[in-house]
Amino acid sequence: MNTQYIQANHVIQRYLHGKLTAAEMIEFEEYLLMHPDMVEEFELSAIFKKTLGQAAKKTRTDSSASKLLRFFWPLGGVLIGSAATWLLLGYQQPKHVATAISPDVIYIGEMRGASTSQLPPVGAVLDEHSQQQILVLDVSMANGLLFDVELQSASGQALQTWPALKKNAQGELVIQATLQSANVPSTVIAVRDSSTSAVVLSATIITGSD
Amino acid sequence: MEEPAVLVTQIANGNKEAEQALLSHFSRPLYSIVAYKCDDPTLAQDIVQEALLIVIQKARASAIENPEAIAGFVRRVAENLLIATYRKNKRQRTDASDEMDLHAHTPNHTENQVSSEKLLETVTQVMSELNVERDRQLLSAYFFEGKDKEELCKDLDLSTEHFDKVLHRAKSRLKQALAIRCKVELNKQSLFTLLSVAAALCWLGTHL
Repeated sequence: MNTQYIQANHVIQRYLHGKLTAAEMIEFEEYLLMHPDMVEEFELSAIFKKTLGQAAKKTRTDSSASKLLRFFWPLGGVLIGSAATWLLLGYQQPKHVATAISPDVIYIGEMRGASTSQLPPVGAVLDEHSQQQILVLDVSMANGLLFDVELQSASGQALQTWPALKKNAQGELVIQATLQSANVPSTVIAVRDSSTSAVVLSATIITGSD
Repeated sequence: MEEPAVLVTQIANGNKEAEQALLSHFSRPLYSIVAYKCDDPTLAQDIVQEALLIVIQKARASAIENPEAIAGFVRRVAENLLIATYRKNKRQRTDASDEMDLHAHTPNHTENQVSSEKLLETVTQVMSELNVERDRQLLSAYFFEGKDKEELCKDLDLSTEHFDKVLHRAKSRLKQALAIRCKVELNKQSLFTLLSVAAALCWLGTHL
């Protein structure tokens, strides 16, 4: 057994679901003991297995729309999902997706090719009590390694900049910001490739109650 | 770091640094295996401590016949301890009712529940980031229901590349969300319980 075999044969999944033979189980456990670098993968899978049933239920409960999606999935789940995303982004550039995952952590991803020449699509709306935000900007699709991040008011005035940020192993830039301190109703975030200055990601974040 | 088999030989020659290196090597993977099997972080911690103590003592006494098979030895020691604990618990129950048994575990159970809720929140967050219902279905079916990749790709009419991409992305986001929300340093800490390995190492350090 080796890493390639384990991944190709989904050994971790089969172990977690009791689908390995006794001999395979022992072999996998011994491999894990000799290769602690695989523990993280094992633990993440175990956590997903342990919590995903409940998490899926919770997600479904939170959104009645998702129940409809499940029911109609065989016929038109993809179309409905695309339409919902399109509506969420205010009828603008349905390819672009951004999600506010909590009042304080904002994940913005898959906005490749976006431009700041016109107001980019709304990516997130901040909770009025949100003090400080962690922005996770997914630039995994962009080729560059270093990126300049700029926060602008809707009128184009620069509010804050982070030059030459290096993307992490997951292809993301993680920055900490205080978006509401500028006291503007909305903020535009623009990510440019440091070497070409091309905009690789941009989004509008609504920061005021108006 | 030296290979565990080499460390076993070094321990037999009185090398104290090799003992620490062996403990560092086996602590987290052994804890993960035991914690997953018994679903009780405290018990897992006790088992790992005791198992590694036995392993070190055997290594010091040159009583490990085949150092190359050290992983098998460590696994067997931990498994035997776990079985012995279950046997002991079973004997101790005698005529005690189920209700009394539950009460005895209440404090531990509450601690686990708090931790589980935090994990559940984090996984829910990661799931909510997925914008396509099909990707949520895919993760749930793969991780929770244990369906095979080929079966899922066929059922959901997906390419294997898309499957791998969704899986990789979900794991990456879970890691990141855990780091932000639970302050877990993934390269240092077990996700099953925070600081347990450090506690085990401290305990072993004072008892060896």
